[in-house]
Amino acid sequence: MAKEEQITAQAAIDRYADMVYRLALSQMKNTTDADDLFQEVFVRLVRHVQDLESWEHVKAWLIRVTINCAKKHYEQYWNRNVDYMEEPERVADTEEIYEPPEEHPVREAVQKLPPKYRLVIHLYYYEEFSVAEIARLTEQKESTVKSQMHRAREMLKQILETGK
Amino acid sequence: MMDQYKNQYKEETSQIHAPADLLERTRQAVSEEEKRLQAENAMDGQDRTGRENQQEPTAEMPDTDAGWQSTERPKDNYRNYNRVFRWVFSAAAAAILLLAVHRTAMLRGDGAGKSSTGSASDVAAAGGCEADGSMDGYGEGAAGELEEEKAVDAAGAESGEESDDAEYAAAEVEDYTKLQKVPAETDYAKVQESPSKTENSTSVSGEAAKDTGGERSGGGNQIEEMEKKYSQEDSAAQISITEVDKKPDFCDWPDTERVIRQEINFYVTESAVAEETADKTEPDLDGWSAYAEYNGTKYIITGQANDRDEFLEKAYETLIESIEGL
Repeated sequence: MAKEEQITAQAAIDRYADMVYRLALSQMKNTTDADDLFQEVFVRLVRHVQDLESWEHVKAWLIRVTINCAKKHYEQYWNRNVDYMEEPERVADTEEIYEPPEEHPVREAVQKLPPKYRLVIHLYYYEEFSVAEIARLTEQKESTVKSQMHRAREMLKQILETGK
Repeated sequence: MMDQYKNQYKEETSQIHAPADLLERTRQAVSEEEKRLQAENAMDGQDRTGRENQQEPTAEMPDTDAGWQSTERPKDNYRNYNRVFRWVFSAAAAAILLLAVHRTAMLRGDGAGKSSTGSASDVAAAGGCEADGSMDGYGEGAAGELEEEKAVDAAGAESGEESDDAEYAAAEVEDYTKLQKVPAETDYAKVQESPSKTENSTSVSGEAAKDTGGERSGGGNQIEEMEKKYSQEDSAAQISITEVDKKPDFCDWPDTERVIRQEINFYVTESAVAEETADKTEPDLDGWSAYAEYNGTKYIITGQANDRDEFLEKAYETLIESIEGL
């Protein structure tokens, strides 16, 4: 049996860098913010890595902190007056917009969804979490996650069919 | 998402990789943070060693030195105070009850007083038990408050307050650990149990409630909030959905509103089902009913909610859940 790698922040970067980066990019839409978010998450991990008992635990921690840091980012931008996940385009007003290449039509369509829908779609279809796990990670009721999934799929279907 | 798109999305997303320069920068930032943390730990270690060195002479200091005692024994004093206070309080409550019952018996007459002596002592004993119970209840209530405060702290931290990053992330870990280790039902039961016990203790020991009123009123608000939250969740659970053959009459009533949610038509009215039933003497004033058609199937959704929008939100979720069964 292979020896389990010791849990450190550096080792976590090796293991989960792509996962965190993909999630950050799906939430932030532009690479500059995604880079900042990515760095912040791993720097935070340094102070908590000793509390995490397994790599699964580390993975869940990273996802949750990434989601929360993204929320914080939106709250700072919007002075907390608007639902942080409703109008992501405003974030991109002055920033470099992340444009997926045209050969990625589905990813491009997902990027057009509001962030809360992008999040559930990404976690469900890419990370393959169950609805219950997503509910725990996003601190929402399972019924809310199901409802978000339904709406996200409807919107995605429309975007993919009509291109809008 | 349809299955063909699911695979395509996975394929497209898996092509994204963290850029090498970002990884390099992150590694540097992480190693700097690690050094900073080590330095902080070293400083803490020095402080602790210094404190331990200072504590050694305290053991040899005479007990009469109040200055040393006050810095070294606050917790002990507090614990002793609590222990003494608990017993004194119980005894005082029992004595007051005994006196009150005895005085009542005296006022009724000597004969009656004698005959009631036994019962008075019984009541006093019972009062003592209740007083103990109330204290225990209060203790549990306080524990409940502590838990709630933790939860509030965690929520505050997670809402993204920048001021205290350490607490923020600690709350993340704590929250996640709770999720992993403690079943949700246990937490719920704990929180439910705590306020009810606190309420019992409030009703039994009125004097005690006055004495500790400041603390309890703060906790009371939190308990009320928790109860409100759970009652809302309970009401959400009361939504029921029924498949019907024909469009119900209430759709044509003048006060029935037609609302479109996610391309589904809802005919909503307040307490329609209650009024439609034969017994019209007790209409359900908080009840709402809605009629909707989805994929050619007709549904009536009934339930309780504070207002129309809240009911519609729940009705929509229930409808989707029952149809899609995610």
